[in-house]
Amino acid sequence: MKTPHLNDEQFSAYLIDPAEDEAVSEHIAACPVCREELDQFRLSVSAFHEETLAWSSARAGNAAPIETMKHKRWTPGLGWALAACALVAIFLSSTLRDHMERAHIHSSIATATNSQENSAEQIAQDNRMLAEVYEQINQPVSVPVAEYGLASGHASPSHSRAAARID
Amino acid sequence: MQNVMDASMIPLTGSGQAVSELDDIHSLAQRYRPKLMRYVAFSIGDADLAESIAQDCLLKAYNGRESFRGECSVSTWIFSIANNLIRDHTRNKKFQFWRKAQTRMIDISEIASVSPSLERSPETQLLMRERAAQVHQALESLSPNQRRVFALRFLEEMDVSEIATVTGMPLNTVKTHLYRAITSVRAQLGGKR
Repeated sequence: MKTPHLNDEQFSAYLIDPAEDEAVSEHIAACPVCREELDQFRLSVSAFHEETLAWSSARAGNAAPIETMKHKRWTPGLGWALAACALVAIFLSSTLRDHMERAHIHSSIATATNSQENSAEQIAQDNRMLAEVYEQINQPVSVPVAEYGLASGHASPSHSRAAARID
Repeated sequence: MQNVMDASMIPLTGSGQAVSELDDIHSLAQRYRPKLMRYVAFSIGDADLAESIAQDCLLKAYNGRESFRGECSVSTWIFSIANNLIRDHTRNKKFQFWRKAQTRMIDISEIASVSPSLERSPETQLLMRERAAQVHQALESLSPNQRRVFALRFLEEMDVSEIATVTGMPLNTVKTHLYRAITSVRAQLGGKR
């Protein structure tokens, strides 16, 4: 059914591109009803545009300022300064390393001497302790079996623990 | 950010004015930040994320300004960058998760709390606020793509070819989305016959 006014498609087409269809433009110019509807639509969209822009502007106003990264340009002077620093660092590290190596050698010699002394003393102490142990072992031990005269041929009371163990 | 449109991806012609506009980050931010924030906020429904994306967008535009040669307007170029940033964020799985948990449009009461600084009678202000709320309500029922093209057409006043450049959609797709968006908004406003 043909209507005297613009249909949805014509109305939308006009809002998308007013210059697309001359007939539609002429109709709007001549028809107050369609023109009124068009104005109402535009007014509503315009109100929405203003409200939302005011809102986003307020938010943008409170937002943090944008900071851009500022890249410094490479300069030859800076390069030479960095190279000099690198050389000084290499020199200092090699000097320090030598110094530390020498100190380490001295410390090793002193430690070795001490350990040698300790070792000789330790050996003497060990020998004394072994002699005491040997003396204890060689002392005669009374054997209960010998007291009853049951093992005259097997063991004598004079047998030491060490001798018994050797037998 | 693989999908973000690089400055060199848009063919450009010489335009000293555009380059000088891009040279000053502060005036660039002053001019485009509110518009970008609004566009992104209505595209993704998250005002805080919109603020962050708008900032990223301006930095990208500023850092890539030397490759801008002016075959499209600065506005179209900047909105293209914003659109690609939106696409990157919406593809992000975390975003998809949180999107389900929150509203998809900016709260109308938050928008209404900030009145435009125009001298109008209280009655007119109330009427305008009601109209804005109706449009807002209508936009809630639209798909993200329909909402995006509607915002570019009627808030940023871009033509169909500029919208196609910004969104990367074919012209006919842009028109189809616009038809549906207009029809829906008109229905909400009570204008559909």
